[in-house]
Amino acid sequence: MADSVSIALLGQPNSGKSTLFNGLTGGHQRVGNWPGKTVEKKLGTAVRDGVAYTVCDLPGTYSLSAMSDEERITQDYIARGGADVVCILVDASQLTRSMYMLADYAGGRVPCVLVLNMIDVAESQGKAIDAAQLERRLGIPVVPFVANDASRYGKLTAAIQRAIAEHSCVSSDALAELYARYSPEWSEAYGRLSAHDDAAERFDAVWRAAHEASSTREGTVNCGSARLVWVDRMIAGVQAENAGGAPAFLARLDGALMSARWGKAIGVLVCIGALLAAIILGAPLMMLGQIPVMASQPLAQGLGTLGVHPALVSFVSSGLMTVLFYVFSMGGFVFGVAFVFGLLDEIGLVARISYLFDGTMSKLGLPGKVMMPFLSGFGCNIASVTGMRVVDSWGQRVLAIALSWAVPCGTTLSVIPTLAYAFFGFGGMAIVLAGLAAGIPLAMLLAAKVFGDRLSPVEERAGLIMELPPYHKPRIKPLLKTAFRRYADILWRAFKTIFVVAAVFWAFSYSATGSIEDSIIYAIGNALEPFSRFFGMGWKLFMAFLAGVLAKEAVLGSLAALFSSTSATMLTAASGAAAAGFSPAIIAAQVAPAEAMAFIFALMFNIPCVMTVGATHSETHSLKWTILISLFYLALSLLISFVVYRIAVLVM
Amino acid sequence: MAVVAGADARKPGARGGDGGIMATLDRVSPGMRARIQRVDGSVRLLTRLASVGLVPGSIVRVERNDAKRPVLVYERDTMLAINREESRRIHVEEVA
Repeated sequence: MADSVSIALLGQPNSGKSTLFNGLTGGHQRVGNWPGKTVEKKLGTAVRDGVAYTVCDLPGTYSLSAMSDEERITQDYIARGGADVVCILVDASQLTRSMYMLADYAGGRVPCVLVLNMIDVAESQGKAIDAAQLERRLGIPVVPFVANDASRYGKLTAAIQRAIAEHSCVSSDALAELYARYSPEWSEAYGRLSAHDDAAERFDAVWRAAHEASSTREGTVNCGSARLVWVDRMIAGVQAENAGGAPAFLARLDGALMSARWGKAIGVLVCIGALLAAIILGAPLMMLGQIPVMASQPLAQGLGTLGVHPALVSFVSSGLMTVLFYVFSMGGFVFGVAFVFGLLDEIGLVARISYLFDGTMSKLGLPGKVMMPFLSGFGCNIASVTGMRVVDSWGQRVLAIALSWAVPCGTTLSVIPTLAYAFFGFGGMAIVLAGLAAGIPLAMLLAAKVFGDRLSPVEERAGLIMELPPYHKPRIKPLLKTAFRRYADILWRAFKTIFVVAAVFWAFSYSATGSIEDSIIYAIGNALEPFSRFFGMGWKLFMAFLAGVLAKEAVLGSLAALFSSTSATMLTAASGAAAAGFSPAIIAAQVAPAEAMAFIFALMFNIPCVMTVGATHSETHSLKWTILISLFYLALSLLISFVVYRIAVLVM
Repeated sequence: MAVVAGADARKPGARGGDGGIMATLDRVSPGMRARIQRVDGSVRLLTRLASVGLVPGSIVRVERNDAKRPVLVYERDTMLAINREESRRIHVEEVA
C-alpha cells in the first residue's frame, strides 16, 4: 500500500467536487492562485489509516480541452505528473451527461477512480446503478458515493489504493475505434502521433490525437460525438430507471420560479426570505457583540481602581471592546448567510436564481447567482464577499466581490439617513436618498467597466449554457459544520485586521487631556485641510470619512468626538456613541450644507470597512486586486465628493 | 406546426432531411422534441455544447421557451438553460 498519495480531483462544476475536497481534507487546506493565472488553486492534506494524502482540487471544467485557463491548468497538472491518481467525479443522478468527463480523460495513463457522487439522489429518483458491472466494463474502481456522508470515505480511499496498486486506467481502445469512425481529423492526427507514442507520456496517442483534432470545428464536433457514443455504450444496461421525481412542493416551487410572469418576483422573495432566515439564524451569535459593549463601562472603572494607566484603560475599554463588538455583530450574520446559502445551493435553488437573473447580471459580466450574495450585502458586505464562493470562476468571483462593495450595508443604511435628516430635514433626506439609490447601480456599472475586461473576458464568460441540477435533499450537519468553520475563520481574520487599524486610530485620537485638540489626529487633520477641502470636505468631516473606512459604525461617534470636543475617544461602540455624543445641531452649525452633502455622498461610496477589505483579501488571495478595488472606491468617493460639492455650492 | 413564427429573415418552414421543420432552437415551442442539425459558433462553444451532450444528432426536449429568458431543454438526464444568443446558433429539426 502506498503510504503517500497525491490525488487530483477532476469533475464538472456541479459534481460536488468541493464537498468531497472538504470532506477529505477537513480544515487542512491551502488556497491560493495558480502562478500567473486568475484561477484558484486548492491544495489539501489528509491522513487516513496511516497514509498521507495530498489532494488537489482541480478547477471545475466541463472538458479537458485547452480552451480556458482552467482547462489548460487541469491538463498540465495531470500531464506533468502532479497526481498519482485522478478521481473523476460524476453526478450519479445525471450519469448519461456527466460521464462525458470520463470519456474525455480516457487515454490518460495516470490511474483513475470513478466516483459516482450523489448516489443517494439517483436512488431517490428511482435510478439503480450497477456499479460492479460498470467497474468490469471500464476496468477501473467505481465507487458509489455521497460527498457529504463521512462514513463513505473509507471506501473511497480503499478504491484509490486499489487503483494505484493495479495501475487501473480506462482503456482507450473502444474509444479509438469510435474516433476513427466519426472523425477523419482524428485519424489523420493519430496516423502521425501513434508512430512515436512514448509510454512515459501521461496521455496516450489516442487522447493526444483527439485533442489535436479538436482544434477545428469539425474535429470538435466529431470527437465529441464519438465520446458521447462511447458513454452510451459504457452505461448501456448499467442504469435501471423507475419513476421518481422531485417532491411535490419543490416541483410546484420550480414551476413558479420558472414562470415568465412571476419568476423574478418569486426569485426576489426567495432571496429576501433567505436573508431574513440568515439574520434570524445569526442573531444569537450577533448578540454576543453586546457583551463587550456592556462590559466596556464596568471594565473601565475596574481597571481604573486597579491603578492601570489611563491610556491603557481607554484602549481596552473603548478600543478593544469596540473591535469585539464589530467583529461579533458581523460574524453572526456571516454565519447565517453561509448556512442559508449553502442550504439553498445544495437544494438546487441557487442555480434557479441564476437562471432568473442571468440576463440582468450578464450585463455586468456576472452569472445570475450573484444576486443572492449581492442582496446579503444589504445586511453586511463581508457576508456578500464570502457569499461569492458560489461563483465558479475566480475572475468572475473577484469581479462580483468588487461590485458587491457598492451595496450599502445595514449600518450604512442606518447612518446615512440619520446624517441626511440631521443636516437637511425630511425633504432634504428624501432627495439625498434618491440620489444615493440612483448612484449604486451607476457605481456598479462603472466598477464592471473598469474591472470587467480583465476579470471576466467576454469570450470566457461562463453561464452561457447552464445546468439546472435536480432538487436535492440537504444534509444539515455538514452544512452547519462548514458554516461554523467559515464563522471561526472570518472572526479571527476580521479581528486581526480591525484590531491593527483600530489600534492605530485609537492612538491617533487618544488625548491625555480629554480634548480632541490635543490628539495627533487633530494635528494631522489640520495639515490635511487643504487636500480635503479640494474634495469638498473640511478636515473634521474628512476624518469622520476615514473613520468610516474603519467601520461605518464609527462615523457617528467620530463626528461627536470631532465636533463637540468634549468626548475624547472616537472609538466608541455605535449604540453607545449615537446616544451619548452625536448632536446634529452642533455639527450643523459648524458645517456648510454643501460640505455636508459632499460628505454624505463620499461616505456612501467609500470602501465599506476594513473588515470587508480583509475578507476580500482572504477570499481572493490576491493583495493586488484587494488594493486595486480599495483604490477604486476611495478614488470614486473622493471624485463624487468633489462633484457633489461643486454642484451643491451652485444650487444650495 | 409548432415552430414559433419569427420576424427574422430565415426561410420559414424549410424542409429538413427527414421532412422535419427546420428552425433554430430559440424558436421551438415548449413540449416539442428537436434534433440538432448543426451549430454555428466557435470551437469554444462547440466544445462546451459537446461536453453536455449537445452535438448534431442529439435529441432534446424543449421544456420552456420564454422571451428574453434562456431556453430550457432536457436531455441526457439533465435540465439545461441555454442563453438565447447561443440557442439562435443551434439549428434543429422537429421530431415527433
